[in-house]
Amino acid sequence: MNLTASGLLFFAFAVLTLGAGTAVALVREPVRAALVGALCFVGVGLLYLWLGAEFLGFIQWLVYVGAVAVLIVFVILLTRREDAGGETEGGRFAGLRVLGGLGVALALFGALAAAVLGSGSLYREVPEEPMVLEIAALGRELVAGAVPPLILVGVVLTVALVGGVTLALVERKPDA
Amino acid sequence: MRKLKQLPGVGLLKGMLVTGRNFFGSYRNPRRLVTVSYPEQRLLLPESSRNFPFLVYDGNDSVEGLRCVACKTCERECPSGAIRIVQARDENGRPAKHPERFEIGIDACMGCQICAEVCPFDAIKMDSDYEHAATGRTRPMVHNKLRLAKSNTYYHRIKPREAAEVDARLEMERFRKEEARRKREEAARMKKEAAAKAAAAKPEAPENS
Amino acid sequence: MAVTIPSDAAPPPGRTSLAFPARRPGLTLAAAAGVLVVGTTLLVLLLDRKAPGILTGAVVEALAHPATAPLILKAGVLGWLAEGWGLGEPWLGLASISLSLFTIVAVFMGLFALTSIVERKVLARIQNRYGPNRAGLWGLLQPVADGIKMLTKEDIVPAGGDRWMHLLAPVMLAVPAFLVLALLPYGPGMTVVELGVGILFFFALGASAEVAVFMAGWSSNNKYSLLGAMRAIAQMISYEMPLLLAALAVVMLAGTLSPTLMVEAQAGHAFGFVPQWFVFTPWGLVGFVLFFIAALAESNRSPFDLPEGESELVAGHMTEYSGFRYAVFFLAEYIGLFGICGFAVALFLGGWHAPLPVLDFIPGYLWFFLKLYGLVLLAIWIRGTMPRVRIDQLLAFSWLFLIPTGFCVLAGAALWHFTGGGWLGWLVVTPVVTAPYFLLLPRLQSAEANALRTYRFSEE
Repeated sequence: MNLTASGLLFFAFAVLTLGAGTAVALVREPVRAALVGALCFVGVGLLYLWLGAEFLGFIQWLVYVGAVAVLIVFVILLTRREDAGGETEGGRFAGLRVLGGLGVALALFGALAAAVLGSGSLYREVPEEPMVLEIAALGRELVAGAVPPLILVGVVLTVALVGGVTLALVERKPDA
Repeated sequence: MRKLKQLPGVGLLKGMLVTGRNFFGSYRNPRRLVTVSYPEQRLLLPESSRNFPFLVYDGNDSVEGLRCVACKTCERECPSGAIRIVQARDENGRPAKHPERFEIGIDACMGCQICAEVCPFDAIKMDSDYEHAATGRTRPMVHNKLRLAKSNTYYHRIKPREAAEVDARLEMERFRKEEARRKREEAARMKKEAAAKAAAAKPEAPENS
Repeated sequence: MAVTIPSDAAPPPGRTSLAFPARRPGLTLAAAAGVLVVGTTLLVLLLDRKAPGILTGAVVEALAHPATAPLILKAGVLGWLAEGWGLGEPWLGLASISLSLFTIVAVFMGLFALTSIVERKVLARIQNRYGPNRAGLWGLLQPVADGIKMLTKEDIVPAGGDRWMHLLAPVMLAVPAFLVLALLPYGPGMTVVELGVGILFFFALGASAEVAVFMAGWSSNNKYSLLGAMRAIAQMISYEMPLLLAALAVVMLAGTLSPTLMVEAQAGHAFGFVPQWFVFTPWGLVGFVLFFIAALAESNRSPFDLPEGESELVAGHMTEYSGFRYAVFFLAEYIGLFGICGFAVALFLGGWHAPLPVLDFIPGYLWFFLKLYGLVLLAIWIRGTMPRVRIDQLLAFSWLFLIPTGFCVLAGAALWHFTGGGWLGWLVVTPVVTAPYFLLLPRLQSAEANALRTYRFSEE
């Protein structure tokens, strides 16, 4: 296996992404986990860039690092209660919980793997020339073909946001 | 027009105008500047400003001219015990009316002005000098007689009104003292004369009687 | 007013005058310039022995063609490396990139040093003071003194803080700030990294600044730091939206995401003298004001500098930073300001184009830096004028006024495109883009004035 500089870069980014992703699950402090998660997002963005998909890479960076990671951090900091720790390890049903978690993780991984394998993109020939992504074409695609799902996703997100705000903002009414 | 002035943001623009005028104005007209270049230029401090005491001397000699007579009133009254006085002795070993050493620890002094208030001879006054940075916190903080002595001219310069009052008072005292001495001398002379007259008259009497 | 009181007694030993003997500023400046010119000449002549003629030729040609001088000099150095040292292809490419990067970093470090003293001077003059004038001629060596001070100060990591994150945060803030500089179009053919999606990269880098600020606030283990960081992030998120919307209008009309192409789209003069910069269109003008306001907030400048509002938060996320790490924060803030002002110049102020055709003889990169520094000076002027806003005012201003204005600018840009500009464009677009100013801002102001202030957490 001959490693070019480009291949080395790929492995560096992959190790970064996977390492950060593993660390998210293993780090105990939630804030640190969130920050390592941001690192994981950065790694994914770098992989996109490595593939030549600049637009996607920077959007990944902008949305996931700039918005999602920060949102997670905010949620952790704003909802953390000192007394809401409860039992963290052991306790009743410990084995059951581990089994449940593993089951969910396996099911998710299986579904994703099936989707990737089923798409057949793994066996496609990679063209020698790097594919040039026309941003205008991407925009046209989004606006022309994918408008209904795009709007639907937007509506769902808005509803979720409004719901979240309503739930979180339980203001005490003034006594008068 | 009034409507235009009430538009949001107009006030901000006016503020920008004011600061802009200050910016250019301070270059064109140095009198706008409210600060001075400190070590070269200083502002005249107000007459009532004070921090540490100093010793006033008359004339040109900062040792001979000291008004202090080493009465140690200030040393006794100083609340923080910052003053130390050693009285001088003359060649016969008798106490002289001037201090051998006069030291003030400016690290202990709190500038309360009590020493200046109690001094019966107007010999210690409050200074407004503020440059007392030193390279140590024990010996360099103790100012000796030479460092503390400042002329009456200097006193007049930093506190003209107060110094003039003091001078007038001292002059008056000197005049009264002089007057009293003159009267005393007059009285003594008169007494002496009377005594002499009496003495002159007396010896004759027994002889006469 | 200034009366000199000579001390009666002799000055105590050891007291010396601190004043720099700057009696003849012209002489000092001439000496400095002379040393610079002679030194450079000697250095070029010395280096030229390796490959005779190449460097000197490049310098002479650069002096003859100032408009493309940086490109000629770079080509000269590369040729010198290839001829004199026999550098091969991968290394030559690396040398080319590092040469550009070193130049940019050096220029902006110089600009940073200059701005740190200029800002203090301007603020002082606005307040009718002298400002720093001790270190060197007119205080010009003050940045050097500040640097030495910062380097020799103690570097404190708070106990109970996250040591590594505390170390990493300033770096994480400074690196994206510098990366932005690589995207700026300094002149024709003078972009360090020609990126098709440059503007997107710029916003992505801005997003990573939020994470860095949070890291600084959280790792300090200090309530003020954390509160400051939370505020800073809330502010950055709120003001990224108007920034993006204003930039999006330009993206729409220029039809590109590359800053270089955006500048090229603003070439030319209408009627022979009105430059066709985007700022001279109704949507562009409003967009530029919007962009600049949001830029001030993004780079934590006054009047939006409340993440470090010392009256309530000590110094925000920088509370626990000292010494050189604090200096890095300082640096990152200024470099971020330069970067964002550079983008404002590229997007709205015509980049390297001269305002009048007769002024074309001045090289483009000089125009770019002139405009950039003009915006920086404007930011300093604003800092010297306006008081700091409150956090609720800050967020309300963005969400209730700037973002609606941003959408109006977007709509205005679309209308401008469909009307094809001209007087019809002005007629249609002007009411659209100025509507929020007349409709929303007075209401916001009166709502602010009439609102009953409630304090949620103090009335327990």
